[in-house]
Amino acid sequence: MVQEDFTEVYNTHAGQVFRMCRGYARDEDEAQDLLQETFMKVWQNLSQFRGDSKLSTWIYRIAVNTCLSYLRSPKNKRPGEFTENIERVEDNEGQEKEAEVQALYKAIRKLPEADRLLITMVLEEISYEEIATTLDVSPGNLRVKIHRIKQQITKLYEYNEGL
Amino acid sequence: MKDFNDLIEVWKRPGSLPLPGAELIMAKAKVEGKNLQKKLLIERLCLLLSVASMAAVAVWIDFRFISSYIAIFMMGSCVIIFMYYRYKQSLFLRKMDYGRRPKIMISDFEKYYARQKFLNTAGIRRYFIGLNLAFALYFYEVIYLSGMPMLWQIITLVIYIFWMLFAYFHLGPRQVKKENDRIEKIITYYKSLEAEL
Repeated sequence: MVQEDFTEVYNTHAGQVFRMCRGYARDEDEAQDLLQETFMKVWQNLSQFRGDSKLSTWIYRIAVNTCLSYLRSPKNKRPGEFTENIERVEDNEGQEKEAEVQALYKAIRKLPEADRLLITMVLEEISYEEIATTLDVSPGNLRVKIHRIKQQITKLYEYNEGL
Repeated sequence: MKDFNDLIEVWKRPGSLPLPGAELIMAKAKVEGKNLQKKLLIERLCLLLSVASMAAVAVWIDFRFISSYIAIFMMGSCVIIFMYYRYKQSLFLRKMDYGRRPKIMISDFEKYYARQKFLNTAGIRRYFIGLNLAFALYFYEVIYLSGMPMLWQIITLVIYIFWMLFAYFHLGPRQVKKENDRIEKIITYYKSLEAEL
């Protein structure tokens, strides 16, 4: 694969993939590790991509599988809880916005893992059809599930914001 | 009161760290690719080296009995066959395509696990039986007919038997348990995720 093609693919999808990883990782550093791991697999396997699905679907699958197996591997288990990055933001407005982001991540982490996986994709505004293809589930079932998770996450977010 | 669309806006706010550039990812992927190639090359060389060293022993050491040559051949075959299957397993895991549907990922992991289980039970049993038969033949000439004092013959055999038993009943199962736990954890996790979905 030529480097220019990869750069284009990376620039198009890195932001989305990073946020998806962030929903799984304990902090931004770990999310960056997962992002790099995902795109290294994309780089190494792009020649095997046969176009059975959309390129974005293929990349999301790699991201999901990478996050799942990375975080399940004993060598990647790190002590401590999730960390927040509020200290990096200096002004008040920035702090407020960062606190909202952290409240959202906190809410996401309270969900069961399958719901967490779904909601990160919904927040990315990935179409239901593409989510269904990525995760290999029926679209009808997905709609009901997503509706429920949306309500749940909104409640959890409000609760976290009020703390 | 925020609705779900507000959450989408919050979600899409950029993080506090800049994302790494595509060049860094490519450079890392290239280094990793080279390292993988190196590892595979080393594993292949180890296989070749085993064959070469067994052949060298058979050629340079002038055994009196054909049984010793058979022993060397059996040892070599056991080691090579076992290493070859381990190598195939590690290659399967390394080359796994992460871009496929979760169901196929589960089926791949299960295939890998089934082969690994076979290798770690029936495979390892055959390996130990073959290797020990080979050593028995080898010791027949090298220890029993060599004129070694009886005490030393007994000491050598006791040390050998102790080491084999230790490897078979302690080291092997410990390693197998570690490998099985890891892969079982991944399969269980994927299955529970699939069930939840």
